[in-house]
Amino acid sequence: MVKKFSELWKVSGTVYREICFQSVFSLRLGGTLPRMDGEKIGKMARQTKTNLLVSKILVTVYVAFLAVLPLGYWSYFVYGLKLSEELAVVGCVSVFLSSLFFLLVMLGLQVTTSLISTRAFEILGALPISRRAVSEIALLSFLRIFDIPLIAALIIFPVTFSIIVGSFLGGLASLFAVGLTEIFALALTIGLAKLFYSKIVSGGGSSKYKMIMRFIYMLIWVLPSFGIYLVMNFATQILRAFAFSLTQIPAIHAYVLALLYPFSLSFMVSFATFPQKINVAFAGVLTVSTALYTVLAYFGLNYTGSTIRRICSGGIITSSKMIVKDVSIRPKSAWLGIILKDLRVASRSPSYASILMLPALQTIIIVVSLLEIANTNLATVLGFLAGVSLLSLLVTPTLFSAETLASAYIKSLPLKRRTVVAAKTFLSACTYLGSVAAITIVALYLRKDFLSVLAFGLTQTLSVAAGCMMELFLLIRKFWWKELTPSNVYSSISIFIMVLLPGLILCLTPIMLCYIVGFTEIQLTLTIFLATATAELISVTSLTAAVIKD
Amino acid sequence: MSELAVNVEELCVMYGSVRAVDGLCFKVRRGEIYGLLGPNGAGKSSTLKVLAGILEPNYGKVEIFGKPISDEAEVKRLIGYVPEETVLLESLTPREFFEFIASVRGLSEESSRRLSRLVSAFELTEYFDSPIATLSMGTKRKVAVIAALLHEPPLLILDEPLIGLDARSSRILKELIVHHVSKGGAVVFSTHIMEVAEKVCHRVGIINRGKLVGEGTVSELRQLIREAESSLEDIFLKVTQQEAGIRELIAALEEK
Repeated sequence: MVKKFSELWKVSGTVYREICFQSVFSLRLGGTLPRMDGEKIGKMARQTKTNLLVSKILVTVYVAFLAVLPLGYWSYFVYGLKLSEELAVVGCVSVFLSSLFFLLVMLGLQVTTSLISTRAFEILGALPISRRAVSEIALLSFLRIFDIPLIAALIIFPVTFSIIVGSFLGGLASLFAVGLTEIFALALTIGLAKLFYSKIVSGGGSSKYKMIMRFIYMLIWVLPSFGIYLVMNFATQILRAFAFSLTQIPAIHAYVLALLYPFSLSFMVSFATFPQKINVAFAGVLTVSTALYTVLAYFGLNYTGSTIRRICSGGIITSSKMIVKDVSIRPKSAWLGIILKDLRVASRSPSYASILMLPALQTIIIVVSLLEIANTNLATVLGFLAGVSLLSLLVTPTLFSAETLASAYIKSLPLKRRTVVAAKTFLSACTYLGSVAAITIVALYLRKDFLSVLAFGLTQTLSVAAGCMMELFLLIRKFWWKELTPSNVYSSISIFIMVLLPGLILCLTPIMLCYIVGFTEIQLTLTIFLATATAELISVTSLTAAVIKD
Repeated sequence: MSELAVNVEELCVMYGSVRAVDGLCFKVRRGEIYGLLGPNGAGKSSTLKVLAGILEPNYGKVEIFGKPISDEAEVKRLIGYVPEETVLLESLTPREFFEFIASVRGLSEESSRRLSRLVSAFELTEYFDSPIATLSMGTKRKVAVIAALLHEPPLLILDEPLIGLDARSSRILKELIVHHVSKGGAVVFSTHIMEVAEKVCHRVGIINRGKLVGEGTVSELRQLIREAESSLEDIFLKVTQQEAGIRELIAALEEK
């Protein structure tokens, strides 16, 4: 019987390696990996391991940045905003805890699908290992996915805090707060994973109500990703706004905040740092809230373990018989069929959905910027369009990788490569156009230069379409026949850059030309813009038609 | 359309330095059920993947109804394929999956009638709007079989089609295969179940290590090994040289 922690940790290492392997090679999705010889697979597996380590280190660097950023603002809070030291601590700790929370949830959501879909736990279940041990192995495998960032957060923030604020006890309290935050983040991740599998994956039905419900659950699922995306873009603004609001809060509100996460833990850290500055009643409230959150964390940890076990033993995904009266189908044209399939797959897969919604997120950021900017000019508008265009270019490889799902079967269909290019270019361009429409409406409402947004935004569509088509052209040339799995679209950064770069150049060329010409004569600028974008689209379309024959 | 449904000449498939299929040649005519037999790793699935247009051969000539497989889209219209590993678009429901297949294959709404009959025959109706990910292996198999039959292709390529199917569905599929060839269609299928191959196939090809080691009707193969009473399983073990030592191995395993 496997009992010792070291043994469990060792077994979890094997499961973790399997999860990594499956997440990258997507064997479960029916890729054509078995076509490769063992040496090549071994090489790719090693490369995967390195990539995952690099990605963990990158996340750790970001965690370190999040830990240092608020504490770097310490002097600004205390001397600039004249915030009391105890409130400055609350500000710093709260911002870090909430950022860490979102970051961990977002990371967790990216990998839990692989954890859940791996068959490694079924194999463990058949071995003479107790159910409790299997559950612990599942939990440890889950923790291994982000072990370095978790440990880094536990070390970097408390150490930095102790050094900058000069309180060892405060540092210890912050260690406790970070630990609780990590547990809450893991519990939420698993809770959302359960929601995803029980409501989205298992949730069938073709009625509009069920489709809307699936869409809502999907939004809930990807919300943490949006949260961290917004935190990344507006970290400084959020920090300043939060610190400023702390200077405004009446004393009674502090009692309410002391009960709410993450402020309760932040006040607790503040209390540990400056025990002499907090009154007895407030200390009492803090003690109660900290005890409550500690108990909650204990239940959270148990919930995480048991839910992981349930998920991994297949207890979440169930099929149920339904009364279906109508089994008719409505075939569309091939390209529309591909688009509908892509949208359906994306609406039920968080990784696809979150990338498909990137242009929408960028739009939100642009809209917020529009609210802040007093006057927009053509240079600002082109800057906005460049941002949305670049994110639309990220959508295309994701849409292509959707074509690799179940490729061992789908490739037996008479799917014309030209049709695939047309469908996916259209869909990518649509995500861009949606953003342009939203920015135009907001600009019109705010009485900003909406005509420039509309005219240049619509013209830029040609360029975006050319860029996306170029990406697809390169992807199809490289991957259509050989080793088509979702992984190899993303497994090599050099390939990814090689695919993105030409699209990027195509999208930015008209914008750069406008900058070179200057913005003195708007009609001339628009004419050059239109001519360049049209020439790009015609060139790429001709190239695709000439090289891709079917 | 050519009378020859499948024409394979000198087919070679390499996985790195491993030669999975090594100079394979065989022909399948209209109205014929051709069984591809072989031990695990013999190259059956690789051969069928080449026929289905999934795998690009390293060398050799492959024609489907006289058309080279390089004529991808045209050839794939003539084929219905059931893969060995039933991996479909798991997040879709069977309805959405069939709709996608019908769209790509350019089928009209008329195909709904055929679909309705197939769905009813394979008892899939009550799972029609459940995500494929939630279905059992056997039910997923039914989805794959229906998708292969939906467009009434003249050539069916079935890789271990009976695995996971319940008795009723197996029977229906076997009957459908027989009916299909009686109307002039052709079937190439691989199986490990010798009894099925013996009953259903007009001719069988036995491959071992990527090479064709025996081909013909069961009686022709009996003549090949010169044992008049042999079953297909005996013939199979003999021509693939796997028979030797089986008794000794079993005896060793049964030893306490």
